[in-house]
Amino acid sequence: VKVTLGRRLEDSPWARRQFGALVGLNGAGLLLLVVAWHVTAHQALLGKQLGWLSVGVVAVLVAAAADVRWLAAGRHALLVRRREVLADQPAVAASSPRSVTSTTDWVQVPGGTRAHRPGCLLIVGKDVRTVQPARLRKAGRRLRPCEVCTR
Amino acid sequence: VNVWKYARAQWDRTTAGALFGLGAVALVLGWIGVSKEALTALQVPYIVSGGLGGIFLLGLGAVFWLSADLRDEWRKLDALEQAVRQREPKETSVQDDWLEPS
Repeated sequence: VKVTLGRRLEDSPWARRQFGALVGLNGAGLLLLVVAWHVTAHQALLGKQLGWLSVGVVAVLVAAAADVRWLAAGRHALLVRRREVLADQPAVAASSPRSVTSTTDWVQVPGGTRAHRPGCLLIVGKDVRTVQPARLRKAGRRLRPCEVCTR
Repeated sequence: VNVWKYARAQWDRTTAGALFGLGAVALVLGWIGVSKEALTALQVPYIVSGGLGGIFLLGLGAVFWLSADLRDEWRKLDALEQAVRQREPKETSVQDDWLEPS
């Protein structure tokens, strides 16, 4: 089930609504903290100060709760997105290698034990070298086809 | 490294660093204030402003820093998704070099 969080902030896992909640609650916490400080600074009686000290503690807790909720929401959105993106990958990885015509379309990460198709997602961003078909057959004992890109 | 350029590109981490610094300064100033006052009633305002204020700023700094990490990961997923979508399969025959007899 895809959870819709409303309009997203640009390039981020959060919705505008969540950003509003973070700013609002932190602002409220800061305001309460300033009020608590102002009252305690102008109050000579310790008994009356302690009440406002508690208000200050509550203000920090409110802000902290908003912060934790913000980070948890971001983490959750990332997990959902990661699952979606990775769920797409096997289908792409499975369809792509079988449709390539080149006979030299195997690559290997130097030192690795698997041969990959060039589009395999497990070698994205890695330095690879092409393995020629003849060499591939010779190297068959040492190299095995990647289970992800040949699935 | 151009510091200004870095600060602008990493505005969230720069802000987090500034908030960490401010939080630490607030805590130290609060401690100094409390230690100089003999009466508890005069110490309480320092506890609220320096102590609680410092904790508030440190928490906000942590939010900025961790949000930057999450945003980085989000952009990485964007790039990965785009790369996956851009790969167009070509219409050709199935060929599996691995199974080709030698």
